Amino acid sequence: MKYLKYLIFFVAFLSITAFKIQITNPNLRPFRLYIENFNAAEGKNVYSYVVSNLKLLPNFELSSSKDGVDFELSMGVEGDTFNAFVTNIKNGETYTFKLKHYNTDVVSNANLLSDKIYEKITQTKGFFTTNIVFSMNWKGIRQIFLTDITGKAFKKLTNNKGDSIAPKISHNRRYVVYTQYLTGAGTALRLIDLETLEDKLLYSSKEINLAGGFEKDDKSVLFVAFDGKVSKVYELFFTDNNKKNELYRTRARVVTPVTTFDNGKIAFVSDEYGSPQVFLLNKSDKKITKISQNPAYITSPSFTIHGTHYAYIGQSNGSRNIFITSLDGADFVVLTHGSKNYEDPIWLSNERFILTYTIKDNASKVILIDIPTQQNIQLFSVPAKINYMSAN
Amino acid sequence: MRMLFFAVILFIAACAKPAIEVPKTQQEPVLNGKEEATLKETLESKKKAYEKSYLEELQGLKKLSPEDISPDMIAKAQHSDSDVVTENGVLAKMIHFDFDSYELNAEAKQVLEEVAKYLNEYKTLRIVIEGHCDERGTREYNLVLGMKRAEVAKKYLSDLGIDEKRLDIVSFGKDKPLVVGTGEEVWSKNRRDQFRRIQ
Repeated sequence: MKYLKYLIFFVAFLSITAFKIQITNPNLRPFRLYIENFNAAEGKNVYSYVVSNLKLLPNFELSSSKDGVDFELSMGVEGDTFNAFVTNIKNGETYTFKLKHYNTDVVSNANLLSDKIYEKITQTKGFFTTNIVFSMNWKGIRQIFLTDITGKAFKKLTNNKGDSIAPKISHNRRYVVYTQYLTGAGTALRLIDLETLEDKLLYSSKEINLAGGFEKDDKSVLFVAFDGKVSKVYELFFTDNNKKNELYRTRARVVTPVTTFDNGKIAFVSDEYGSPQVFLLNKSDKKITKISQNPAYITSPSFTIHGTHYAYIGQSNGSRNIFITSLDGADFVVLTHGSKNYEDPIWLSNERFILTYTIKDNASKVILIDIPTQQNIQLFSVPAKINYMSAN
Repeated sequence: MRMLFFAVILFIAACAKPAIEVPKTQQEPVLNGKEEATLKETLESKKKAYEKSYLEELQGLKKLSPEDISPDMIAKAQHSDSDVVTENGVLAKMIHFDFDSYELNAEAKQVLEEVAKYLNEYKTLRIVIEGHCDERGTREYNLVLGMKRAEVAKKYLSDLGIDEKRLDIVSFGKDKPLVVGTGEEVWSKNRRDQFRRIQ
């Protein structure tokens, strides 16, 4: 009898993993693409980055000849403008993309062009312009870093005396919120404006203040303040004099409050009824609803921009793996398997890919997971342990 | 009998060492005017540096100068032991916890009683109780667990009569292990509260 509940959980677990369903609706057929050679010296760097970006993806099949392809891509330089021409073989239409001053920031320009080409071919949102923020050790103190999705342009953002952790980037890629440890005790929540390069104090207290992320409209930050006894979930409007609104208070342990892309609800992880699970909080009546049913603990939920599904980290085969599910638990998929420990899944806004990372031997690998094929695509590696990652 | 008693008392009194008066200079060193001024200046500058550093951390607005870095620079900025706590001011005494627990065991209570005794001896001293966890579980959850571990020690010290104003708490979760590695032997060392002097 003692083990009956575990047996029931196990059987339920097996039954829901037995059928995997298609939860996104991309065009699964790989597009056959022919890319013309690029012979000029000028602009070769942009060309090379674009080709290496497109080569990464399982939804493109790069062809060495023009026979039977769906699209043709050619690129060239005219003065200070880089041109890309995408021809749809089926209807004969050619689309032109122009990048002016392409040499000023080659990586950003190549990623922007990759997105335009991706969007034209797949008719879905591109993601190469995604920015990644993370914290990691830098000479003994953790600082905040920024990189593009391909890991070609790293920037160290902070130079703080206290450890800086848990950065989250806004949906419009303009703001980064993070936690800074203060001398003695206490933590401060700070906000970086990537446009003005200002780093301003939002809130400080003797509690652990940890941001989960930005609300859908990028005007407020969701965070938890925990003093060792009570967890308080706040929404802080940094566009309105840092006005703070307490959304929920409990003696349970609450972490990572995140947007569900539904203005009336947020989600967080709490051990309110035992092991940490995902809860929805209705902002108006403060009622909470447990939505996850994983027998082991759950962490790091990330919702799709339509709010219909979420990804999270759970235990499977003794390792931290990524699970995805609909809010009602019906569409349930174990996305990763094996002995790697995955961290911080981020469901990208085009809904086909999830960004995550693993750590092994003091090195971190940043990985893109293609949901339909469950393929792991390594984007780049960092010779350090990444400690909290966020992307948008 | 009474005579014998007085005789013994007189004998003891005669054998006792004469009381030695400790010269004032030995009790507390007297500084000359110049030394005193230097000491005051040092203390003042230390205080100012601490306040400046705290204000700098708390300042409302600062301008960033993002720095382009390469993977080579990242590798160089990593120290093999950089995650290990080596800060000055950390008391040798620490307490340990069971897995996923923030309950004080008998040994932990005994250590806390020693810490309380120490704080009673140095009445102006303030400490930060740092809660730490082992590497298992998630970072966020461990930050919260570490806070619970620090809070429970604070409560016990407070019950022992230490003013709560002298006790701050902070959690580093699993981010600052005492020992790097895996296995119960390592984990049990890392599930701890440490005590750091701040004044």
